[in-house]
Amino acid sequence: MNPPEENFENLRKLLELKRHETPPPGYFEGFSSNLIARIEAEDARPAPAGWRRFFPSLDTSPLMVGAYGVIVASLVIAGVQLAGQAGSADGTASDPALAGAAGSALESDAIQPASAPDAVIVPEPAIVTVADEAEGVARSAPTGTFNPPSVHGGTSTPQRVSFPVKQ
Amino acid sequence: MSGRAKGEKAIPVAADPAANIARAEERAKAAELVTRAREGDLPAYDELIQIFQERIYATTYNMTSNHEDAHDLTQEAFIKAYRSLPTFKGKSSFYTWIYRIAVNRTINFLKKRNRRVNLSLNDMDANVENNPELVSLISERTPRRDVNLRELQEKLNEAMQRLSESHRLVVTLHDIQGVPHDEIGKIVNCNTGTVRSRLFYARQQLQAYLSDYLK
Repeated sequence: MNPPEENFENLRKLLELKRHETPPPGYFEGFSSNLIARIEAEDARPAPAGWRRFFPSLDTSPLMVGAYGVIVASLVIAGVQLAGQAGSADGTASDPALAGAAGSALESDAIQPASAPDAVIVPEPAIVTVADEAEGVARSAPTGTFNPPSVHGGTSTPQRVSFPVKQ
Repeated sequence: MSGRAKGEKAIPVAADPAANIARAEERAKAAELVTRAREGDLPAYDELIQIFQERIYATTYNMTSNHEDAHDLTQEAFIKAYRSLPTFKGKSSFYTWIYRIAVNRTINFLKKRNRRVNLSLNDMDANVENNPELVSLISERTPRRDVNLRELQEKLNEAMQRLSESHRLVVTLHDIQGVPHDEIGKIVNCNTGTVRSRLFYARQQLQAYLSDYLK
């Protein structure tokens, strides 16, 4: 796409003014030597030792120092807690009660619920009647697993349900 | 893509054969200095800085309209280039490469600076009095030349700062520094048609902002 032609001659003259905006006299005389001195100074500076080499941002940002501190403290606390839990699981906890509980848990070799429910609801087996159309014989069989509650009465009496069997 | 807008034909630097020869010679010398600088020869890098310092400074200055920012950005660009010399493959010229580093750093700086424009303008050099076009331009518009030259300079810089970074960059490189379109394309990584298009719209905007001074 070519831009349409337009006369920018006066603008070009005006922009030439910018070519005369120059830094103070002598500005460029020492520019390169100052830069080279800065590069040499950076090269001569000893490399940061140890951990500072891996975390150079710690030298410049107090916020980063705080963040690193919080992370390290969290890791230490988490490590201590994990070590304590591992000790309990091995039966080496200093608290005898805890040690005993851990030991009995290991002996029983089973995971017990923290608290047993007051009443265990055992679903009554529903009787499903299967209508065998071919033979005209109705057979009943407990399912043992499916026992839909009654909508109206709220009781769980068995209900007879007929299913046609196709052959 | 190959057409040239009417306003562009007055830019002499891009089409000047002597300038092209000088540019080729300069690049050959720069390539030799880069080879030495890559081996840790700091005097060679010193020479490279001296070749390009004024142009890099002019780019950063005209992009920021602030001498102190331009000083820092120019220094940073040359230090960054020195540290990156081991990775410089030589696919482009050092000239293009150092420009690209300076331009990228300047644009990043301007994005952080956002809209806080703080002009810190350099004074006009004495040669401005020897430029007949400028003298006529100023004397036609301004009865009190010394006062209004400064005012004109400020208006011009304010208008430049109102352009987007990409538009300001093409005006800076082409209209102020005389970098050819194809070179600008290499520096900003776009084709020549895009450079011409940006230049056209940038000039249109500048013309509107500076209409009082362009009658």
